[in-house]
Amino acid sequence: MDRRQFFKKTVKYGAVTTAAIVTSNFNSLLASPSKNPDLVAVKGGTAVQMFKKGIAAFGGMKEFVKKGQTVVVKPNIGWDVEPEGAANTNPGLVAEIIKHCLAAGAKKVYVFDHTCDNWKLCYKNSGIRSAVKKAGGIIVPGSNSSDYRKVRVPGGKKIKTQRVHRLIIDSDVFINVPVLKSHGSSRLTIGMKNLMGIVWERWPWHTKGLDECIAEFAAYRKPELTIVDAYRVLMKNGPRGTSNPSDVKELKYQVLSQDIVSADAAAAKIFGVSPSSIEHIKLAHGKKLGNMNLNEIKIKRISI
Amino acid sequence: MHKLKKARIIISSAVFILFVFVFLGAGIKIQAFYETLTFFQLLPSFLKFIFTGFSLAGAGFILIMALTFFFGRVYCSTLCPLGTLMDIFIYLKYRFAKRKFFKPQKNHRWFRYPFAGAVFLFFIFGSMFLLNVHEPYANFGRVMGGLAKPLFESANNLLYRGFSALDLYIIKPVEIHLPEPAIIIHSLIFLVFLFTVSLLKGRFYCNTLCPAGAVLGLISRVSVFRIQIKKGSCNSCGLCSSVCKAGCIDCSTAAVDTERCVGCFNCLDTCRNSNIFYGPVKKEKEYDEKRRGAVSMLVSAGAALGALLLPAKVFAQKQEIKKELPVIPPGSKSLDHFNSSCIGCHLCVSACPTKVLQPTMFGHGLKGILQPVMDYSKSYCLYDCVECSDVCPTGAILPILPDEKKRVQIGKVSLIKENCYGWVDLVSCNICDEYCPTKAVKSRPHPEKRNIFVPYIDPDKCIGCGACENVCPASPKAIYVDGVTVHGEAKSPGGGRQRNRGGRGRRRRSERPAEKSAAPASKSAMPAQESSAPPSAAEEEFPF
Repeated sequence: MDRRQFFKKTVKYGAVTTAAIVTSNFNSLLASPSKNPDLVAVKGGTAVQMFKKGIAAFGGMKEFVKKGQTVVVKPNIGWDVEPEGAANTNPGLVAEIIKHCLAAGAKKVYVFDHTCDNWKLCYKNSGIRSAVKKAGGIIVPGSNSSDYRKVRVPGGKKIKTQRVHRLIIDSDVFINVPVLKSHGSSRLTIGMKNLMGIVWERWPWHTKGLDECIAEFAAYRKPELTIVDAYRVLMKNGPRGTSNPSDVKELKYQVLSQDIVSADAAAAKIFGVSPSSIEHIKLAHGKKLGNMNLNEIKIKRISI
Repeated sequence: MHKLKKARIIISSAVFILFVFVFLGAGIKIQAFYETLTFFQLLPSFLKFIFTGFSLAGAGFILIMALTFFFGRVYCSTLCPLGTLMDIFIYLKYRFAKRKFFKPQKNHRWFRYPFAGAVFLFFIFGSMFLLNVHEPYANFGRVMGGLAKPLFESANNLLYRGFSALDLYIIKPVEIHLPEPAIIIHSLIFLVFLFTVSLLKGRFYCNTLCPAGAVLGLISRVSVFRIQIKKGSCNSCGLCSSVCKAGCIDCSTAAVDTERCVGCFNCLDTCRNSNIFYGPVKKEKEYDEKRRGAVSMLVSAGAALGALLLPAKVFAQKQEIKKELPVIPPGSKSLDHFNSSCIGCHLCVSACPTKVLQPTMFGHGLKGILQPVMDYSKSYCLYDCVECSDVCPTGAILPILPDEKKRVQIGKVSLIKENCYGWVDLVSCNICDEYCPTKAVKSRPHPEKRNIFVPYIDPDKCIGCGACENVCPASPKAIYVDGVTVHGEAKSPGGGRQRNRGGRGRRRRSERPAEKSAAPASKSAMPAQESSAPPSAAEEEFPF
């Protein structure tokens, strides 16, 4: 290579690199959070289709997951019920989220839940274990007390400290993937209620006042993204259902938001109730942990 | 090593390892595997024969008795897992003890047969007391399930911690529920007893206490093949007798007591002159005498034990008097059936994925000693699970399909409002409603305080799974399940046809509403047109 060639090449590649940097900066400016919607609601496709459209409206998973980061995805796998029972998060959706995280450069994507029924059976029969493995995620048991570490809950009155799964504490990105369903105790279970599955000693919440505890604990760690699966919805007899098909309705919705309270409010509306009628949503809103007034936030609605 | 001895060691090791495997809760879910394994257990098979209406599934004991008639008590040295456990202890003695030989023993007929007769009479008159305490297979199960399993599980959880620190999740953590102390103590005492006796007196247990050993001993008295010593050429050196763990070779008279010989074949290659051998016996007159002796002994044993009828009846508990009945798993039909057919081997306890089935000492009274109960303080019975009924070797828990199980009422729910956080403290706890799979417990507004939700019960819908009792945070419990004498059928949990799941993995594909076939957007946009849909969703695509 002579000097001339050297200069030529340098200029050529330099120009390309500069252009690339400029363009990428430009792109990231375009997709900066301020320009993003506060909440994306999708309607009418399969859970996977709706997620693809929904995450694209935020500028893709790379907005939330950076290269080399560890991600923990927390679906609801509470019950030994098959996917049609709608007691657990849609396994296809969980798998798709994992794929997007890995494509965005995530180093590792973990999935776990502190289940209600026997964890092995829940993982297996919900279809989530096999979906996670196929998608390249790591499925981790949530049943071992030694995996939970004590943390402080900011502003907690009823629950000041709580033992939380180490993956939530240690992972860079936390994606909360609840399923919308009716609930015998908290009337509805959505995003904030799903956080009970990252806690070890959660039963006392029921006697301390479940709704207050759910709202207080929402202050512990804000998920980077909450994706509410409302494709199949358990309209009654939740959270477990009676294995009776008439309990379940295919509403075919999905809600994505960085604000867990907004996500819960929108999901409550989809279920057909006012967000303020759900005690823990109202309390969390009152604590300024998020906004349940959907007319005050920027919503992007997508129909498929 | 003699080739018969070699075969014995290979077969017994294989059987032993499989049994250890299943009693440690290896999680094999193949019913046929359990059926085959326990088919060849003498007393469980006999019970299964009776309690499954003389079906072939329980015919294993006939084969074993036939086997014994032809070849002697080889069962005791191959198929009996407790026998192999004793052989392991005895091996340790050969390996490490200073005194490595056994002495000839007396045949304690006066105790052995009356005792076995008593076991049998107790059983006939409805008490499992003696049988459950002395049945060898059940004792093995309790040693494994009650002692080895908790240790194994603790080790497993330690390993899980080690591996999970490396981000590897090959080891699955398990929840450990220790059985009640009486069970642990009972198993421990038995194990220590067995260990000591094995070292000092070899297979003494098999030839005095074991009811299966007594039955097979009687048969082996007249068996075709047996260990024999060529008379005349024996110089009474005592080599064969010193390795006989049953102590049944008397070398001073060159006689082998086949009644006590467990067919281990250890003696076969000890004789320097090859005077001891295993082969078919030539008919001689003395056997008639032996046979006559056996018959007279049985008769006298029966007569002597007539006196025991009375206590047997005393032990037979009356369920009507008891206020609280134990809950037994789906498939066990009724307390009468269960109490008279379960030998307390605790294989179901090992197989139970939630560990709700727990061994008890006196949960069923003396009559049903060591039989397990559904312990809702430990866990609860899963809606779709029928694993205990798949593994039961005696037919105490008869096979049942998951769909049948969802309607079988094994107990009934009761609510004590005075203990309930909802009814007393007016907090919307309702965790019982959360877990109830049939909505026999349902939360509804408090009659006065309408914004507080409290549990209401409908015992007719209750299947007795015990989830509500298990999760109830009140102490004492505000909601609990009491047993029933006979399992009934629960009312359907609500309108609509039950989803026909046909059990795990047994469902046809066509029944699965595939997500792929979801209706196109135009149709699905209005789910609310169906009657019970939320009203707000009916108005527009997005209700916000």
